[in-house]
Amino acid sequence: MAHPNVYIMVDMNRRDLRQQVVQAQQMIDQLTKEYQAALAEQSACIIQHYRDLNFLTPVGRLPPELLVNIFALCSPQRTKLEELPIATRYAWLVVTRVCHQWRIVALGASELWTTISTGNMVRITEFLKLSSNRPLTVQTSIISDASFLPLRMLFNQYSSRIETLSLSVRYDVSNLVPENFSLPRLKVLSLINNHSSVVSRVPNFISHQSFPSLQHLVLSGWHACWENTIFHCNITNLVISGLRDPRWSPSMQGSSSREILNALSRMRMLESLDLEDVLPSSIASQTTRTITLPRLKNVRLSDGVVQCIRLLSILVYTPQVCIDLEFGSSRTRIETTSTLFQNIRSIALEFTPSEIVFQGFSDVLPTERLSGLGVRPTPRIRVSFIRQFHYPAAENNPSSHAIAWLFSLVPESSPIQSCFFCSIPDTNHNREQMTSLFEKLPNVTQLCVSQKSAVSLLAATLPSSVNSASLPLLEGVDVINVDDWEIGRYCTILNSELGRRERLHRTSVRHSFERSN
Amino acid sequence: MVTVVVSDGVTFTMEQDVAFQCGLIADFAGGGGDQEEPIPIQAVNSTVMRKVIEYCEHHRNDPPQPEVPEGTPLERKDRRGRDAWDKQFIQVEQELLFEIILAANYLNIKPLLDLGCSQVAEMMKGKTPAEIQQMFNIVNGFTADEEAQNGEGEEKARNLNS
Repeated sequence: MAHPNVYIMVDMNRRDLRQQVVQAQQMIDQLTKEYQAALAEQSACIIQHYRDLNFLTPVGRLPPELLVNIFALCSPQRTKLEELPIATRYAWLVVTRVCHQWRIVALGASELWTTISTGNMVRITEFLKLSSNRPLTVQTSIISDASFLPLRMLFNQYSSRIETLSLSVRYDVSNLVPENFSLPRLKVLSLINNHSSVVSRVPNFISHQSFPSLQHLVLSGWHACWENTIFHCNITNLVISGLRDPRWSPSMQGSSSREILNALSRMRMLESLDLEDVLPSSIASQTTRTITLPRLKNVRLSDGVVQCIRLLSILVYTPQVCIDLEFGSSRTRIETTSTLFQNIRSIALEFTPSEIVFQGFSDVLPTERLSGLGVRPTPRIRVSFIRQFHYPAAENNPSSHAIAWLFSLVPESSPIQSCFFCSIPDTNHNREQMTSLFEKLPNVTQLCVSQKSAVSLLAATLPSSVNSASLPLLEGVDVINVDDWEIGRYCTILNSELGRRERLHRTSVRHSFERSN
Repeated sequence: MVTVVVSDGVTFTMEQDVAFQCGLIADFAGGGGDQEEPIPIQAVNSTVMRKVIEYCEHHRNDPPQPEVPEGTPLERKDRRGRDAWDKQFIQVEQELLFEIILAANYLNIKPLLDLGCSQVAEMMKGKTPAEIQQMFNIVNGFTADEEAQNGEGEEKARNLNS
């Protein structure tokens, strides 16, 4: 049996040991904490080091305000946003995931977050938060009651911030808008009717009372509504295109000449007037009145030739006005048109092969000043001609004679920068015409071609033109809307021939194949 | 004539209509006649200044650009459509491109600034964050929290696009 002191000793040792273990544990905890803090510090140092390295790169030297400019330019143009598939609409947001600095800059730039074009409430809430109190642009499609809910929330809570509203309507929205609805700061309204066979009347909330500050109005695909108070004196830009369905043509619906002229005469601040398929055949036929629009700068009329000329003849504007005309062919020789045409910038003719009676225009058209020229197909499609040469042909192939005549209107050294060719038949005669045309286009940078026959024609003519130094500035060719496996072969021809040219290396032929819905 | 001296000591002499496209030089000269003293441009070197002058000489007869109203959305401020010459002019090495942008900003030449920024935006369009990082030789420098937020953001984007 051991001496009692031995037990005391063991007991004391045990206590000491326990204390030592506790102390050791505390030390381990302390060291672990310090180690983790050191790791965190190291990690922060590494991150800071990376961030510092970014500042040494060329792009890292740009100040935040220039980065914001660039980020804004990465986003699609707002006018086209609604047309983009939603998957690509916000593709520009990748800038927030490139690096810490860009993220801070992008999230802090309220001007980048002012365009709302989604029905997703989470996304809308984020945009509203990031955009501070800036004016908003809202773009959306209304296809059902449910799709209107986000818009209703915006109308109710943010009506004083909405300055631009673009609605694509496929549904009757008249009953969805609350009473006494008003967007007091709205300056731009675009209302596109995408379902004219179901809805044809402009929604009843469209009025001067609802949008007292409105300046820029776009109405497309609606039944004429010229008596509406929306056509008031503050309007500076007016774009109206009628219903494509001929059953709803203005003449059938009785839109009177007087209503249109009264509406136009109210809009004395008008700077830009764009009317397509809205003028009744009786427009200004029995009137001696004139309508003075002193601020008018641009006019685009797309309608029957008689309607266009009658309307132009009663408008009073300054000599600086630029006029773009698109009109159908007429069997009537145009008289007294030379003075009317003095301000014309571009002209497009609706093409019907049997009606080649436009030669009379050659005498009065200022072809040396034209920067755009084209032919519209039937059925009509909407095109823009500014500095473009647009050649969409009719369903029935136009005659070679017509192509020759049309191409002959293009002056030598034309200022045209881009051309669009559609369904021109690939014949020997047209190959010759096309080759001659290219010799007159030293400023063209981009060609766009659609439909198989036109692509085939281009594949046959373009390489030799490029090799003979025609089209010296050409940078690329877009092949669009061609649903045909053979197109790959033509693209290969174009790519291999044009790829030899240094300038074309970057863009070359882009086959942007888009299926129509 | 207007004379400027840049950061590396090189002197450039330009005609007034060329020089006055630079807002800074126009302000410096006070809109008056010929400048006798060279104007110091310390933030720009001679390589970049040559490009700037080339641009200003090409556009010396351009009509003045309309003022963009206050509050115009940023992406609409790309005022001048790029013509073929501009496109060719701005096809330069990345480092020089950013030098031109900085110089245009410093010298207050808005069309050249727009041109440079548009070019950078064009380079970025359609690229993933990783591709942009690689193109500009930058690293993301995100903290763990930011990485997590990015993950959530991608998830939201997927939900939005689905």
